[in-house]
Amino acid sequence: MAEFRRGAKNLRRNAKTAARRPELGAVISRATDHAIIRRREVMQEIDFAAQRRRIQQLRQNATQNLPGLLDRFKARVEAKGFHFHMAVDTNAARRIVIDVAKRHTVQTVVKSKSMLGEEVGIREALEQAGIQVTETDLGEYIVQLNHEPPSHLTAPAVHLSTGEVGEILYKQAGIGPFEKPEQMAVAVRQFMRTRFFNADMGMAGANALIAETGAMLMMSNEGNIRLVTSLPRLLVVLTSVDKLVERMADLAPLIRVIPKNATGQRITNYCTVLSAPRQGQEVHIVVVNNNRMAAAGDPVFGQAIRCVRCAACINVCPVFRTIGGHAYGTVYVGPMGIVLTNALHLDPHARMLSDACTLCDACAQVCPAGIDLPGLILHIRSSGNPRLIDRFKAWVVGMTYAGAGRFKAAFWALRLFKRLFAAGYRRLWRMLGWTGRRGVPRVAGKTFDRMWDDDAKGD
Amino acid sequence: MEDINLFVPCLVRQFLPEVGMATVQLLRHFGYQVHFDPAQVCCGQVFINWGQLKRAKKMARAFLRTFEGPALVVGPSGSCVAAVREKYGLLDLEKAEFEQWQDLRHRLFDVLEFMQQKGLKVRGRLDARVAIHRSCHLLREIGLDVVESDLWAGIEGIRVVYPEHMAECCGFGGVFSVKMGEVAAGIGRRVVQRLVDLEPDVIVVPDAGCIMQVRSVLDAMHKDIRVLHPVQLMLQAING
Amino acid sequence: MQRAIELFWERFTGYSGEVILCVSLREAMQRTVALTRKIGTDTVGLSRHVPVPEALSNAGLHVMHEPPTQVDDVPVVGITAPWGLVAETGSLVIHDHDPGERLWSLVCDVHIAILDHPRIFNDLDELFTEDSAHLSTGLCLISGPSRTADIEKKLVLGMHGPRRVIALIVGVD
Repeated sequence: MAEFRRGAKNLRRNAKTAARRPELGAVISRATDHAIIRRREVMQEIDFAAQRRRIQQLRQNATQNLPGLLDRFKARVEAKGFHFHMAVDTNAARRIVIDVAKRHTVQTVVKSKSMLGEEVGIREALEQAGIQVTETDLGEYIVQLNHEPPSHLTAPAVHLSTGEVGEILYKQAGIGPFEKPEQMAVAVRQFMRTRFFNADMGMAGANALIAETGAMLMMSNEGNIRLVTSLPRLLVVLTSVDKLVERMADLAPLIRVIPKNATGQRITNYCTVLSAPRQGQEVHIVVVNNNRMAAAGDPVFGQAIRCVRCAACINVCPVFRTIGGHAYGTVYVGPMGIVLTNALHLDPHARMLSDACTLCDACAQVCPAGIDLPGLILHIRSSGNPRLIDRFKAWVVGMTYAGAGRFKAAFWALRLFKRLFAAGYRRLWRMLGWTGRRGVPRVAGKTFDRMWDDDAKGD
Repeated sequence: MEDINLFVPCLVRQFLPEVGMATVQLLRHFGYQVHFDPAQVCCGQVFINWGQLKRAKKMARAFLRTFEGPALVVGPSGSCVAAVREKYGLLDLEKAEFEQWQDLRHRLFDVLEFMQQKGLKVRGRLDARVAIHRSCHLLREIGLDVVESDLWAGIEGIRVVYPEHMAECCGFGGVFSVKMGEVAAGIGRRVVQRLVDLEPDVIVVPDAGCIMQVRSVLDAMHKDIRVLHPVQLMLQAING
Repeated sequence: MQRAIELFWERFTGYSGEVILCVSLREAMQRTVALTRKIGTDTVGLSRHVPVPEALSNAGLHVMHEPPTQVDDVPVVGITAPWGLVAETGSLVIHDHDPGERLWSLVCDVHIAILDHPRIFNDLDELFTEDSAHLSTGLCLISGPSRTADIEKKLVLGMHGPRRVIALIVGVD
């Protein structure tokens, strides 16, 4: 774990390293292409624009009224016998969960994948308290075995090839050795069953919290969330305040759009609406804030809190598709990661993440909550103090561009330089930052202005 | 003959002048009187993209002065045109400038968009397999899909191919290409490889920055495939 | 209704679920017995919501109601009675708060779902605006066998839940 998530500070270095591994980009873009193609097919079944308007509206209503919805949700769930806890931040969330576990002398936990769990580092916290935690989602289990964080919201092991997965399962868990994904999945199922049956505590996240009824939506394809929430007698649902929606009716567009957008699947295989504690089960709902309530009221970043974590923006992001999730150094990655990390102040160097964007707008087109991701990234770029080197570069270009005369003179000089020092010309571009396995831009022998004048004379 | 003020983006002016001249010739072909004011420099997109809004504002002011009405303004760059139209709002312009901007927004066009809107059709012949890269800002901000558009309808012999599953950014991204050079190159290699895999005679790219990026990547791949702006290809078709 | 069933059929089977339309509950129970035998077992986990359970025991099947306490005691076949279906998403609607419905739709290799005159919802909006008890007691939409694509996007069925889901539907033709 140590070498990952060192924070956004190391983004440029990590990104450079990742970009030098074309096989990484190949695996990730292959996997995300698959999701993109299937998304396009399945979206033909619905009117995405109309559903997007509904989701944007319902998420906007919710994020603008979080305190009210939270009160209603709390009242509802407590009336039904759930235990409700509010956690202001990461530390509070960890403390609450560990207290619950300690009170029940929990030794083993089966856990389903949750980004919030990653955000508050709950697995590590439980492990430090001497509790064994098993990630039950296949991809998440693989990255747990490999001692690394997930590299993608919905596909945690997307950066690993089948061969690498087989090796990890064999070396770290003695499963296999297998070559085929089917064999690996069957073996993990067998192995995991015992853990499910014997676990002292289950831990799950939630996709939505419904204020009107005090119900929770949970979606999974593998069925692990149903096992996690059904078998152990003690269950902790670790979720965050931005998952609140007002009404049951809000679930329809969410269930309809999130899986289609995320992976191109019509619906997640199991969509559970958990409405009351199950017989003989003690359920604790821990709702984490971590700056969300404040961010929801921010005139600029408020819209970021509408995010429904579908990860479609990540799939289409050219930067993510090339460097993968780990290089960001943060829990949330890709376009929504850049924005959320800034909006929630999750990293002291969050602003630097805004470098990891070509402003191509692909993310904005797929966002089901209508978040202006490129606009927000641009906003982040233009706020605060840029690095000295960037300020210097901008100053140089600024001076060059400060008037037509200077502009022409500067490029005249560049042209001369190129003619005199071919190798130096190349080096100059590299110094400017035009690096990587590319040739350098060739300044034209004749400018447009010259061509225009020649053309006029010719007439 | 209607007058057009030519907007020549800085990269076209210094790196791809042939794209600028092809634009001129194409507009003349359709009967427009084209004017070029060499006092223009840059629309300011580079600084907006950089997050340097104060510098961008200076550029924007100069740009607005250069292109004061009422003539139409046309240039070969969806990206620059989109920046002027959509991003000047970030610059906190003073009232008079704001009004200049509002006026300019509605008579500033990318050359391909202009052709579409005016229904200008190129008729000609070009026997070539053409791989199209759909540049992001033209596609997503201007809303012109170079593949789906009928720009090619009047050209006989042309075979248009493109990466179908998505229009992925070439990795140029303005200052991104010098801030995260290695990543820009990595994106470029993946995306350009897909164009190369289509085995085209020509690669067509409708924005200057993207042309520079695609050419640079092809250089490193030692691939000798021509990279042209659509207007260059159209001119070839017209001239047979 | 015809249209809704067709859409359900197309989408549920499109995601590897199996559908058998039965003319009567009697036929559904006979088919359940036959399927169970064909799978090669005579023990089934049975939800208390399944109608005429005696049809199974009379046919010689050993019926389990209570949850198994250890892994080895889980039967191969689990039988439940979902109360509705959603055409839009090709989903069975199950009463998730009921321990038997939940358990036997989840832990077995094969899940047989008997839907006797189920409520039919054209789409998710109908289901979630429906103002009735099921919204307060919890539900689960099941749209085929358990699945994963976590290893290089390769689809594998039967990850943590059933490998096969067979819906026997009575009274919809």
